[in-house]
Parts: sequence; structure tokens; C-alpha cells
Amino acid sequence: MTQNLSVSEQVRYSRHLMLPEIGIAGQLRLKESAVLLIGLGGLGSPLAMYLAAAGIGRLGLVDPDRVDLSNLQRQIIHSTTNAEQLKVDSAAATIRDLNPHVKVECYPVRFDISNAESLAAPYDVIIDGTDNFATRYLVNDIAVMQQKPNIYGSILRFEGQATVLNYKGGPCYRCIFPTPPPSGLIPSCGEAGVIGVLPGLIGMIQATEAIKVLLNANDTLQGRLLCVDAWKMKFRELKIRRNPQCSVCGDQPSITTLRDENYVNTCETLVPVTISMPLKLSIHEYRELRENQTPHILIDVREEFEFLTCNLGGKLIPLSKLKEHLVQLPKTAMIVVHCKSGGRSATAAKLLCDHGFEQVCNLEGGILAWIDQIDPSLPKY
Amino acid sequence: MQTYRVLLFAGMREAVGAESISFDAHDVATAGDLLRHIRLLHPELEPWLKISRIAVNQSFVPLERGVDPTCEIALIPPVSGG
Repeated sequence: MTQNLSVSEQVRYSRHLMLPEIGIAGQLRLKESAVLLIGLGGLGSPLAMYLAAAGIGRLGLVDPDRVDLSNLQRQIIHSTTNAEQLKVDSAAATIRDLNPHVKVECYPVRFDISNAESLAAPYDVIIDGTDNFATRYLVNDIAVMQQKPNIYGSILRFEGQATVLNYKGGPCYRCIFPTPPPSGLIPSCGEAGVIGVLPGLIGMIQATEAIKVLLNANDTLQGRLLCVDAWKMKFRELKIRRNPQCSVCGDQPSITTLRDENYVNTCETLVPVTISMPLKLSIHEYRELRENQTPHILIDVREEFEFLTCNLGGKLIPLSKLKEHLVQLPKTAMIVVHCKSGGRSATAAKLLCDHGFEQVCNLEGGILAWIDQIDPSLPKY
Repeated sequence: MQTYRVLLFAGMREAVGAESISFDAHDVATAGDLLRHIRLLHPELEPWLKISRIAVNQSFVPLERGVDPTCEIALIPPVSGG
């Protein structure tokens, strides 16, 4: 396809045209390119704006959500007056205003196994601006299957990661992290928070790399995972390589079609519906409870070797195995959970509450506090 | 006895309440040996260790890779927010 730049386009992109690395040929290449942007949240918002400003010919936008007031601290493509609108519509309006030369295609749907293939097919490059592991692994797998570069970015609190995946023989996401983590372990931004400028910082790195990939540049982030700590403002690079044994991009891949079981593990990074809240139980309150012989079930969520070192006579269910034991526990009984110092048991208590257990207490300070305050005869570790 | 320092990132920092952990050991030859010590000393990291990667001198390495106390060692968990 041969296109030309109009006079107004030549003026608009004049700062690009001056760069030998871009020039007219590069700018035309961007104009002939199609990019699929999955997610119009923190990462996707600034990404879409800069890609549009840069003159990408066709931009596909995928996001099922509507603009919420809590998005506006970082999702700068949307505006206060666009609250409640579909994010794809709100973003498309901003893009049209910014650069009418860009063709915008809106998909107000969740990117899932039923539509991933057809959504990705008409685009040259895929950008991962999603907010959960299930979709990230799906984006990765479809990019590998359709042999398209995947521009990766992710964020939480003050930290972010970015890289270029599946490009010029480099690794895919599963080469770095082979399987999705168990649900609930890694919080979402909605649960743990994020500083508003961070997705801008990471999104800009993704936008830069996307443009370079479209220009067929060699010195991209391919082969390097960039880890950013915005609070310390430290940038760290880690070398990453393609894994010949990778389950999707390896020499003998086991994942060759999109199947639910490759992603289901992780769907629950979405904020779970909290039915009740765990109560905090101090060591002295717990001693009283024991002295009064109040009926309760004590669950020790530490690992077995810790339990063997010292224990309070609770039922040992390590945190990692708690989910599979839920069916054995009565939903209405009082359940007290403890660990070494209170961290893992807080996670366990929340998990129980989220699964409908009605009276869940977390023993504050854990067994270490019990040893300190009540029973120093037990060994500390 | 040699001292090893391991840098932590993202959620692992919150789990431990520190940006790095240090410990003494005399039987560490590989990245896998390091993980074995970290498991014992910081059981609260157990769920993270299963899903994180170990980086030695700014490179993700397999567990058989040799390490010594002069190496920069980091544990990198995946992050999913967007």
C-alpha cells in the first residue's frame, strides 16, 4: 500500500520527519500500521493518546468498562464530563480531537478466549494494558500464535515492569513467568493502590517501544525486563531469554489453542465480593476466649516445619492449601486463624470471609506474640 | 560462613517489611540453595517464591546456576495491575 502525507500531516509530524530514524518513510510506515490496545485504564490511556499523536494509522481499543470517577487520577484520556461513558467511546472522542487522521476502532468487550483470535487478527502489534493475569496470559498466547509483537507493561503501587515480548526471536511472557499465579495472591491496583503518574511512566515506555517496533528498530526492550521503582526513581534491567521449553513459544509447545484452563487460575484478581470482615483478636482476648472455653476452631496457616517447631494446638492448614480445605470447615462456626506474626493469617482470614465464613478472627501478632506475652516456654524461631 | 543479600520487589517487600534480606550460610552453591535458605528463614515468602524468578547479576537464571556472595541477587515477582 502506498500512501502519501498531506501537507497538514507533514506539518503535524514535522518533528518526526526531521529525525533520520523516522523521516517520511518511517512516518508513512506508522500511518500504514494497525495497533490493538487492550485495556484503556492507567496504561492504556496515555498510550492511546501518544500513539494517536504519533500518527498510527489504525488504533483498535478494547475495554468493556465505563469511566468511573476513581479512574481519573491516572486515566487521563477520559474526562470528568465523560464519567459513566464507555471507556472506548470516551477515548475515541479524545483521540479524534487530538488527531483526526487516526482511524479508531472500538470494541466495548472483555478480551477473552471467544474473541481474542478475531480481535487480534487485523492488527500488526498488540499492546498489553490489561489489569489482570488471566487476560495478560491470553494476550501473550494469542500474540505468540499470531506471531505478533506484544508490548508489555504492568504496575502496582510505586512499581512497574515493561518489556517487548515475542519480537525478533525474544521471549514471551510465559518464558519469564511460566504459569499464572494463584488467585488472590497478587493484588490489583483497585486493592493495593497505585500512584497516578506511574501508569503514565510505564505507558510511555510501552508507547515508545511500540513505535520503535513498528519502525522495525533493533534496540528495543526485547530481551530485557525493565523494572521501575517510582518512589526511589530507580530503573533496573534484567536480562530475559526465550525458553526453548516454553509451553507456548517453545520448540514443542503444549499450548497451541486458547483453552480456559490455561487462564482460569487467575480470574479472581478482580476484587472479590466481601461478605463479612475478619475481626482482629488480640493475644489477651484470645487467651480469655480459651479460658472461657468459647467454642471455636483454631487454624494454623503456617508451613508444617513451623508447626513442628511450636504450635498452639490448632489445625494445621498452610495458607497455600487453605482453599482446598474450605469445604471441610463449617461456615457459621467461630474460626480463629493464626500464623507466625499475623501477616499470612490476615490473608487467610480475608479469604475465609470472601468465601462466606461468618465469624472469622485473625490472631494479631501470631504465635510469636503468644510466646512473648503468654507462654515463653514455647521455642521461638 | 558467608553473607548473602537478596533484593526484594513488589509484594515481597510488603510480605517481609523490608527491601532486602540478608543471611549467613556456608552451604550455598546454586540459586536453588539460596531459595532453600530463604524458605526456612522467611516462611511468609513461601507463596511468592513459587511464582517469582530469581535474578543473579541482572539476569534471570535457572535454579542450577552457581552463585557466590559477590553476586547481586534479586527476587522478581510478576505484577498485573494496569
